[in-house]
Amino acid sequence: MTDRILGIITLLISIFYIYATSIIQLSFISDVIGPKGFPYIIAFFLFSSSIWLIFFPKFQAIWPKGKKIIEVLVTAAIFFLYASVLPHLGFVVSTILLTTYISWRMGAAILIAFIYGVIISITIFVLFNYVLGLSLAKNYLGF
Amino acid sequence: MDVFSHLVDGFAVALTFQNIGLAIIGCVLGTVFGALPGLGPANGVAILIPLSFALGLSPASSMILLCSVYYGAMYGGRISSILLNIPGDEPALMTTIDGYPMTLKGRAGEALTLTGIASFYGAIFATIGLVFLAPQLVDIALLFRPHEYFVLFVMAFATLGSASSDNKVKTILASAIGIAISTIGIDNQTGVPRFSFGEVHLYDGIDFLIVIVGLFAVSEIFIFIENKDDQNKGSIVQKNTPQITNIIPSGKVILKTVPSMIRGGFLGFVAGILPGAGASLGSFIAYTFEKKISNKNDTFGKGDERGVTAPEAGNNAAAGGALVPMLALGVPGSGTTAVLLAMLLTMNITPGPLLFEKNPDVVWGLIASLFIGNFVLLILNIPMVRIFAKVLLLPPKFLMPIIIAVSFVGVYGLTGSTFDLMMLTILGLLGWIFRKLDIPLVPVVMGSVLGNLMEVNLRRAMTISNGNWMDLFSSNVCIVLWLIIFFAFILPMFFNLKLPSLKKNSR
Repeated sequence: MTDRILGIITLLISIFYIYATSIIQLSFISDVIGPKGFPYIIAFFLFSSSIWLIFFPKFQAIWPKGKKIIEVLVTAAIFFLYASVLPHLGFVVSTILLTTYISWRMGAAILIAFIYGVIISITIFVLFNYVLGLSLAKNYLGF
Repeated sequence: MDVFSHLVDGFAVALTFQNIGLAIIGCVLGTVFGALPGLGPANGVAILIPLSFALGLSPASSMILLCSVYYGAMYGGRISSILLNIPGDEPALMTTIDGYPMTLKGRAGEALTLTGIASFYGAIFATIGLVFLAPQLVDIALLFRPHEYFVLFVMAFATLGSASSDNKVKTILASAIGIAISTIGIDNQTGVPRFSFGEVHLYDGIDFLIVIVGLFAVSEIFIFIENKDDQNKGSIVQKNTPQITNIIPSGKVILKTVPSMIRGGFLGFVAGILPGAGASLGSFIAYTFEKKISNKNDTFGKGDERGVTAPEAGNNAAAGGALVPMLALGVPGSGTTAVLLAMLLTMNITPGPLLFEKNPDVVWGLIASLFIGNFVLLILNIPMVRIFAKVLLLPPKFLMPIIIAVSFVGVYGLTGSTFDLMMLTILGLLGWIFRKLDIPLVPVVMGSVLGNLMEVNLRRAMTISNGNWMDLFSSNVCIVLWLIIFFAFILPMFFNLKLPSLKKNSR
């Protein structure tokens, strides 16, 4: 059943891909195949393997229970948040928040997670910024 | 001979202070990545690639660092296979079958030493094979037109499909998804934007490095987050690592295992050379073959020494063998070599015959440092193996924050773009969903790395042939390659050559 749903989703994606290929603007210079030919070939494989999955499903996925899915989605949201606050808060502060969260969710007590987060964030910052010379995001105070 | 003078030049590159240091760091990190269940060579290399760019390492130095990680992971994978019955990475799966019974008999130390020797033998054998075989392959590859290259890429996906998944259709689907990702962005032959929907960030396409780090590293973090409660009950943390007492096996035992190492190494190397097959297939074939010819007293599966040495020699040899087509033809032989190829491409180096002519320092410096690295790994993995066994006690709650922070630092350091960090998260989620749906990740990554090259070669071929598609079947090389594609998909169906799925055992 999982395979069938997957097949339907990828079928829709392949149809969208074919549509998006068809609206690619052609340039005045072009080779024999042009920019559309290869995507059409790929779309064919995407389309036909989707059809196969719909008609011959084999695999039944075991999805995690509700709480675990929420856990994964919240973690993804935290990663997004990290990406958006990074240029404002700077590397050290944002990474402390990120690592503390991950360590806490993986089972460390929150205080220990925070101390650990501070340690590795500062270590990574010092290591990469000063020793290895990588430019990391900095806040207005310079860290 | 020509090869030896190249090799001498290679040692001159490899023996600089910086490159020796990188090789040692790579070997240590690789062994750690290999030893930790859930993190394999592909994750390790994926996390380090953006860093080696951002740090401005030269192509030769980056390759030395990353290939040391790759070789190191092949050594390290056996540690948790033997001690905990959990394969440290996929190629080490076969080692659990006889390795863990040896541990139960109190022979963990011996098993680790024997597999250390076997790994060393396999890796050195494959590296010597690489020295002699790669230049031969380069001579053949010089005759290749874009037509042959295109068919060669098709073959890489076909052999991958024959070995990697139970469900071939999903391998096709995964490859198509990967290649489709590679078509996003400006078409570099005509300059028209494709699939970017007016989003400026997508004009450059989705960098395959982000695909790699997202699918391999970030999705692994989601898997850990999802399974964190089970993990505390079951695997790494609570199981005590068995005591490693005697690490020196008797001379008689070593002699007994020598033939199995030689056989395993040879089979593994051959398996590794096949594009798309990789190290898991190498250890699988080596173990199956060894069991067939040596299992006279029904000792296999109950702690026979030859049952650990054969697959370990096999997977290390396959890892080296996989470098042959990657360097000589630009066609990766496994997931990790696809990642290494991605790195070279991003550094504007196209592997293949031209690499050997234009950048001999990269090729031969790498080969020389692999020789040095193997001696380092021998020391790390036999006398110092107890230290790495301690790594297994490092709980994920302290490990995962480092992995995620370093992944983000690497990608941000490379592109300086927060859009790419969001893309990384999306691809991580996608990778997590793919794993749930039993869609193999390696073809997706290979597709995103090779898709562009495939298209360029196809379009060049058609321009040369004036749009005559039958030209793809005209030359002898093409016909041979198409036959391999045919047999790689059909033969395994007859012999039922399936790799046992890792998921059932480790998670």
